[in-house]
Amino acid sequence: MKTVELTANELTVDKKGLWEYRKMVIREFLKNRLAVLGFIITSLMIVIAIFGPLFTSASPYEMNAVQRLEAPSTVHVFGTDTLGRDLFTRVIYGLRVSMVVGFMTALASCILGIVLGLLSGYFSFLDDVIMRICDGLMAIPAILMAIVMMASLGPTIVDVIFSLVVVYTPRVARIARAMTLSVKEQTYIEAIQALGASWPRILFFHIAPNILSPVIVQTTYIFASSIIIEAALSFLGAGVPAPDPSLGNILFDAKGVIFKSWWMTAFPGAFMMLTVFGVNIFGDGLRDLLDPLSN
Amino acid sequence: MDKSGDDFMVKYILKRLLSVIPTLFILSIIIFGIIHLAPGDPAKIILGPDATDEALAGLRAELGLDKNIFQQYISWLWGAFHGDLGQSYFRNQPVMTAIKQHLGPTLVLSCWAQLLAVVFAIPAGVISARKRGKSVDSTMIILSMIGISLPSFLLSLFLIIIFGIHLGWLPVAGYKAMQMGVGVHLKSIILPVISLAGLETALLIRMTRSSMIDILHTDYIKTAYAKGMSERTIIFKHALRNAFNPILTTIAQSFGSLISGAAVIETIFNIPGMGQLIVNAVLQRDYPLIVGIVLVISTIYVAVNFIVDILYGIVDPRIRTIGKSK
Repeated sequence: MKTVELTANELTVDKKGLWEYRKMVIREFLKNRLAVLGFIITSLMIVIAIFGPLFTSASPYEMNAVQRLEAPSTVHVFGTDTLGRDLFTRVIYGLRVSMVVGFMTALASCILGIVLGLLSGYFSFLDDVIMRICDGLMAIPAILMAIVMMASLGPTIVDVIFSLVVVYTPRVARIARAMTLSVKEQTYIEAIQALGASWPRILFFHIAPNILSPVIVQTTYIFASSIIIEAALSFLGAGVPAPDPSLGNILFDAKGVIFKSWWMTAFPGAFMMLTVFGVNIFGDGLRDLLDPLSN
Repeated sequence: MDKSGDDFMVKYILKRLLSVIPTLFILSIIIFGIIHLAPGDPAKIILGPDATDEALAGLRAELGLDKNIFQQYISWLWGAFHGDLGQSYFRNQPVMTAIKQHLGPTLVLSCWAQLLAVVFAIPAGVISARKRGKSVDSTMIILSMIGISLPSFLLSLFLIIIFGIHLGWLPVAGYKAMQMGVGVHLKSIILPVISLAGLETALLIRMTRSSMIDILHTDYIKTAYAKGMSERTIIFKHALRNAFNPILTTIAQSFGSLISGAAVIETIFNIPGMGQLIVNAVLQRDYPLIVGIVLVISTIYVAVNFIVDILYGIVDPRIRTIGKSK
């Protein structure tokens, strides 16, 4: 029997091959101009959220009754709000809060959803139970579910994130489960099982990496949706509590003065729309990249 | 329908029922459970902090709060089966009555919005699919992406600023039922309906476009073209019929977000629907009302999806036999 021996050179070619593959994937992504736009917008928003406070010397809490509801000017670039706070600063901090809520929700529901989906797909006795509960949770429309949870838990940012995670985890779990079901039938999984690997190892080292693609796409959509739902919650008064700004509760303040002060609605609204738009088209681009069959 | 077809149909309906019922039970448990996580004693909330201990104990017994949580759930569920969802803490009326009074405007809003969305989105999606890759299509894609990124309450705020104030054409608050005259009714709801319909339209355009594209590439459509059928016949008689499935699914599944979107919009336009009801209930911590509303809306949502599934079974005979062939 002829044995094949890999010299150091040949191993290096393999590594180069992986790098070539990655470059090809990136090139493919760059061809999709809309997706690139989404990536740029999203990164811009992230940068603003992280570094924005450096650009403004004002505080988002500093009230000034004399300067209430001033139109945009050179001093207050976006104008002031109902309590005389600088709107530009509040929008920046609000964007930061919205991004944090979105990111934490997406991350937590991604991890929880993957774990639940893996367990559900791999162990059929768990499947029925877990999926029934997920169906029940998903039967309740997202905003209603979030409202009910906030009514029970009380108004803090952490509770908002927790409520949203409860809303979105079932959706991730569904996808992870579907992928697990198909991946576990593959021969290489059978082989590892025959070799006596423990189930945590099989699930997390071997199946998990192969179910990631659609899960990641769904997670980007969840990031976008949770920004919207957090804003809706705050808009109804059931989200991030005053005086902490969030894009939603600035709009809540704007509700009463919408006739007089268009800037209070326009600026947070525009930022929210732009962020969600960017994340959504980026997510579409990711989906086109990872699953070219769905046009 | 032949006899075996009938058999399949009944079995299909039963199978669907069998999966819907546990879902309903579980969601009732979830809703009930979440609300009872809330801290605070309802008796104290209703009577205020100055109430005597006797009064509190009396009210608790009356509300059934002194029983353990399983008993409370069972008695609530039993009541729910009979249409009794308990008594609102703060509205002085049974929960079911409050819901019935407020359900009308919300359903009217949702139906108009759904109609508007379908009327706009399906033709737009079809045109977009046929002119794929050209500027019409690209514009549609971008417009629908913007539509998805615009939550309905934001759209309504923008619409109010543009139409209500600067142009002063349309009223921005209040609701006039149909009985008051069709014209008046339409004027009062046109802004809320457009706000609601925006997201739905965008979703439907995307769904219609992608299903049409998939179908237009199938062999039998190509055959139809080769046979020399007119464009119109192909699109209407063949392509649309088959695209109908995913479109109907999207409509059924967005029903839930349509209704809850209506809830947020109602608070903006001051429409006396479910939205106002639940927002006030949450602010007041009126737990029986909150639980009742969410139960009713979720049940409607599950029912709508169930009916759509049955419709599939009727319209597409293949679906009925899927279970059998395994």
